Amino acid sequence: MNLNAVEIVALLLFMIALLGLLIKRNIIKSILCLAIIDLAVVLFFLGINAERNRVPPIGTVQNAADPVAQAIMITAIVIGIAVTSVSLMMFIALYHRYGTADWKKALDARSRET
Amino acid sequence: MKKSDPLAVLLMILFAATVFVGYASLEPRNPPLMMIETLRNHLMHTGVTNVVMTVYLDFRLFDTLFETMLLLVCVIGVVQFSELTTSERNFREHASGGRRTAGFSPLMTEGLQGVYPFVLVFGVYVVLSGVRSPGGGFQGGAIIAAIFMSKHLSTGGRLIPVELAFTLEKILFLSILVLAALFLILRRQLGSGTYLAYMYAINLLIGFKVFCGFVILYMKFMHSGLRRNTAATGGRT
Repeated sequence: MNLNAVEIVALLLFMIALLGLLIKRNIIKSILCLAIIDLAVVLFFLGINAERNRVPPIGTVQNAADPVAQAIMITAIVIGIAVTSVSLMMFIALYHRYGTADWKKALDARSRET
Repeated sequence: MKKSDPLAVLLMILFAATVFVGYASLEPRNPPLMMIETLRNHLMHTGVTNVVMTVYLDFRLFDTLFETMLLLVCVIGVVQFSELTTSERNFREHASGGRRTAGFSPLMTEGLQGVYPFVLVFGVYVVLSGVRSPGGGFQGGAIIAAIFMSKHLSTGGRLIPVELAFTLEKILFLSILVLAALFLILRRQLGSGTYLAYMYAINLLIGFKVFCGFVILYMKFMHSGLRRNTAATGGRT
């Protein structure tokens, strides 16, 4: 067993958010679940090889943390924010049009429209 | 709970068990010592000590470029979606409406007034110090944008106009592209002396671009939310 605590927490968060995506009917909650999945992925990548005595990879230090995961996760965080904001804005447009935050009701309203 | 929920929970538990067992049975990974050493040897004669920064501004430069482009595309998307639903007039009114303290405790508005300049300076510091310590353009830009949004949310008043920020962000993105391309092409001719200057310059540009992007997103959200409020109160003019 070579999972550390950070990885376990990240995987659990990912699973919980995926479950939320599957069973929740509220659009806001779906968007929140997407954001949590993004954060779980970030946490998982930062947790790979994480040990208690690792130091930030700055200057000439021994036992530095992996810099590549950190550098890539900066981009992942910004992309997560972009995805969340676009989906929230789409939700606002959808809410103004159909007046509901429920996937099923919104789909019904759309099928009535066409 | 709905009818399909127990099935979903069961599926998730199965999936989770598979992932955990599969992941735990992998070989133990060794830390990538050689790569870190290579990076550090490369950095010895350039003056940049933050290895993370050199990864995302040099070794993985294309990732960063496409990511800044993605943020721009996201901003364009949000602007388009918000145009669908709202009119500019309501937002202008709010943005130029002077101090708006109703609904906020004086502790928050007054406290923010005191904290504001320090956080602003801290944000600029994070942008500029990224070359030698933890920090960088993305992080610093996000800090500056966050304090701008908090201040506007609590006290109202003017922010920069959306159109100006939008134009500025496009120009900044172009200049980041041009600077990075120039650096990629000319790096052999320029030598290691310009490496530090390039890092500072592109950090500043990225910080400012991220700030513009976040402020546009914030203003567009504000603007969309207001339409409903004003509609509910009978079109306050």
